[in-house]
Amino acid sequence: MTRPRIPYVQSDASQQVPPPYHFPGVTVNAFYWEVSMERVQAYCDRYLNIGDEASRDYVYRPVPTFPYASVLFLDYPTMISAIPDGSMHGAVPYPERGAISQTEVFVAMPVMRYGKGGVKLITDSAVEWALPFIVVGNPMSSVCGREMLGLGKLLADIGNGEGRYPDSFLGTVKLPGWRDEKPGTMQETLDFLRIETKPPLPTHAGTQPRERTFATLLDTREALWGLGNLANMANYVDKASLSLIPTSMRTVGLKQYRDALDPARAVYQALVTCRALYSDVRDVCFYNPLDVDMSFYDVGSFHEMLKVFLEVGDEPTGLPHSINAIAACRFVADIDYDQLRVIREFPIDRDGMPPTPGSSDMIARWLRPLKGFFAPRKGAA
Amino acid sequence: MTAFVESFSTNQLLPPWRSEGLRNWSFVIAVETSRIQRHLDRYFNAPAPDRAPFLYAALPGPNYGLLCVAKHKRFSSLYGRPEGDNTLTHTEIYWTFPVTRYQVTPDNLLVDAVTVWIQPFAFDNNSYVMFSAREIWGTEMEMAAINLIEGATPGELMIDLAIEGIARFSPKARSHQIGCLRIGMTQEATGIALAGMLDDHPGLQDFVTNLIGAGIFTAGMEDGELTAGEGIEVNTLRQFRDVFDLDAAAYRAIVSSRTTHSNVREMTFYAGSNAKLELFGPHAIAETWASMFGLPGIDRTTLLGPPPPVMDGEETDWSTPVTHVEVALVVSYSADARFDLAGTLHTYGQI
Repeated sequence: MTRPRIPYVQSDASQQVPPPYHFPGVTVNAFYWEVSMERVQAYCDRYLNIGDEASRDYVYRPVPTFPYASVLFLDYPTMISAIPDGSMHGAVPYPERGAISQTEVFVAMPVMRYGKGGVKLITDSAVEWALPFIVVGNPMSSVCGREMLGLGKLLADIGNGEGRYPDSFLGTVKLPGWRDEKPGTMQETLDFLRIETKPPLPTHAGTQPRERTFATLLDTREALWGLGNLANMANYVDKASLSLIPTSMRTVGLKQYRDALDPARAVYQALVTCRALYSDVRDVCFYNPLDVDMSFYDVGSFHEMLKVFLEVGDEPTGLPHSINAIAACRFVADIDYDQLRVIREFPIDRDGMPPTPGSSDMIARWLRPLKGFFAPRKGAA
Repeated sequence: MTAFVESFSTNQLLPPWRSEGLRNWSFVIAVETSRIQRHLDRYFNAPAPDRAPFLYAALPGPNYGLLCVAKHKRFSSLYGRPEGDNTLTHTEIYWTFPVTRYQVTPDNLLVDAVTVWIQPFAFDNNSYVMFSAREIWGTEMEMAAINLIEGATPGELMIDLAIEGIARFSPKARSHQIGCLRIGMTQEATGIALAGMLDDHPGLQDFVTNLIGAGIFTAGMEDGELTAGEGIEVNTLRQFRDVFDLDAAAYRAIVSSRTTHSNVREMTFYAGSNAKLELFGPHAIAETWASMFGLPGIDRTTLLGPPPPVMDGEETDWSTPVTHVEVALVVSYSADARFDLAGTLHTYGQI
C-alpha cells in the first residue's frame, strides 16, 4: 500500500524557493567543543529514534570517535536556485529570478545511524549530522527550511563580522524570547550567542598561552601553506583538517507537522536527509582556541535549547554560559545543497482508520548507486 | 495517537490564541467575483487527488473583501500553559473575503450552505506568529516590516509594509527589502453614520449585514457596550511540500478556525474616500496583487508623501510602479479577540 501523490498548490503569495541550491563563496567560521555523549544520545532518542525500538530497523547513536559539537557561522553572499527550468510549468524559472544572500548559524553534532541486523548493519549504516539549533537571517530561508526540509530554522538577528582585532571574528545571535516563564512576560529580542576571536594563527595578538593547544602545530607558515594546498584537494580536506572542515555534510532532521486541533498529535513525521557538498575549499586559517571567547546566554526560554548540547543546570541562570573551544577555524568554500531525501516516513495513527503506511529508504549512500538512486521508497510493514 | 515531538523551534504560540486590546482597521474593497471563484477552484475545489466533500462558491452579486490591519498589543497562547504565557506584540495585515461553503452529499447534492471566510495572503512582523500561523493554521503568511503610525484622532493613520524579495526578476537581481503597500487616512477623516453610507452604496448592504450577523460589527448595544456575536469561520488550505518532489505535498488538508471578538468598542465608520490604498508592484508580489486586485498600474506617483527610506533598520526600495485601489468603506474598532481551531475538515490522500 503506497500513499497517493498529493499535488501541492503553488501559492501566488509564496516566495519559497525549493532546493537544490548553489552557494558560491561562502565564508564559514567554525568552533568546536566537547559535548557529552549522553546529551547526544538523548537527542538521538528523542528526535531520531522514533517509535518502538523492537520494530525499528535502525538506531542513531553518537559518534564515539568525534565527541564534539560545533557551531558554524555561515555568510552566504549569493544563494542561487539550481532547479532545472523544466519544472516551472511556464512560470519564471527560479534561477532567472535572481539571488538572495543571508547569514546562518547552526549547532551540529555528528550521529551514526546503524542498521539493525547483519545485512542492514552494512547496507543501512551512515554518519550524518544532527542540527539541534539553526537560525537564519532571511525569512524565506526559514520558511523553506522548516516546512520542506525538516530543519527547525528560526529567524534571528545575526551579527557576523570582524572583532576588535584586524582579521578577527565577532559573531552574535539575537533571538525573540522570554526573559522568564512568568505569565504575562512580554517577548523581547534577547542575546543568545556571542563568539569573539583574536586574529587567526600565526598572530601575536593572542593573550593565551599557545603552548597549551594543538593549534601550535599549525603555528608556522610552512604548516599553514601545506594545509592550504591540501585543502584545495577537496577530497582530502576532511583528513587535512582533522575533520574540522567537512567536505560533504549530510544532515538528518525530523520533519513533522502537528494536528491543527490537537497540537500534541502529529499528522506527518519523517526523517529527512540533505547533502551540503563543500568544494573549492580555500583561505583556510585556524584561530587559537584558547583565544576564543564563546558564550551562550542561559536566559529564560533559551534554557530549553541549551540543555540539548551544553552542560547547563536544571534552571536558567540568567547569565552567559561560557564554553571552552577545543578548535576553531575559518575557510571559504562553494557549497551545493542537494540530494534531499525522505529516508524514513513514519506510520501515523488515524481515528477510525488504520495507520498511514509509512516508508523506508535507509540505504547507505555507498550502496545507493547499486540500488537505483531514484528508486521509490520501500513501503514499511 | 502519534505524538508530536516537541522542540525549541516548534513549541511557540500554540493555539488557541487570545488578543487583548487589539486595534483593527478594516478597508472594504470591491473584488471581482471571478477572481474569488478562481481562487476557490484552485485551492479548495480541485481534486488532490481526491475531492473534499465541499464546494466553495463566491457569494452572488457584488463582492467585497476586507484588507485588515490589526495591531495586537497583548497577544498570547492559551494552550496548556499558565494563562498569559508566550505573550508578545505584533501587527498583521491580511486580505479576507466571505464565500459560501456547501456540503456535497454522496448523491452530489449541495446542502448545508454556510458562510466562511478565506484569507489568500497575510503579512506579520513577528516570526513566531508567522511560523505558528503557517504551520498550524495553514495561513499563507509572510514576514514583513510594518510601520504603523496612529495620529491624535482615530481617523489619522499611516501604514507602510515592506517584505524581503526581488523587485524585478533577472538573473543578476538581488533580494532586498522592497516596499509593497501603503495606506493613509487623511487628517480630516471623521466618523460617519453607517446607514447613510449604505444608502449611497447599495452593493455594500449585504456585505455589511453579513459582518453584523457574524458579530464583528455587532448590531446590538447594551449599556453602551457592543455585544459579541458568535464570530466568523475561517477556512484555510494547510499544505506542506514534499522534500523531493516540489510539485507534491507531504500533507494537505482544509482547516477550519473561528475568530470571535468581544468587548468591541470605539467603532467608527469612515467614507472610503478618506483612505488612500497603494499597492506597489515588485515582481516578488505582483502575482499576489494581480490575482485579487487586477493588473498592476504604471503610475509612479504615491499620493501619501515620501515613503520611509529605512524600515526595521534596512533600506527600503519603493521604486516599483504604484496601483491606487479604491476603498469603499473603512471601519476601525478596538476589541478583545480569540482565535480557535475548530478542526480539520478534510485531509487529502487518505487511503
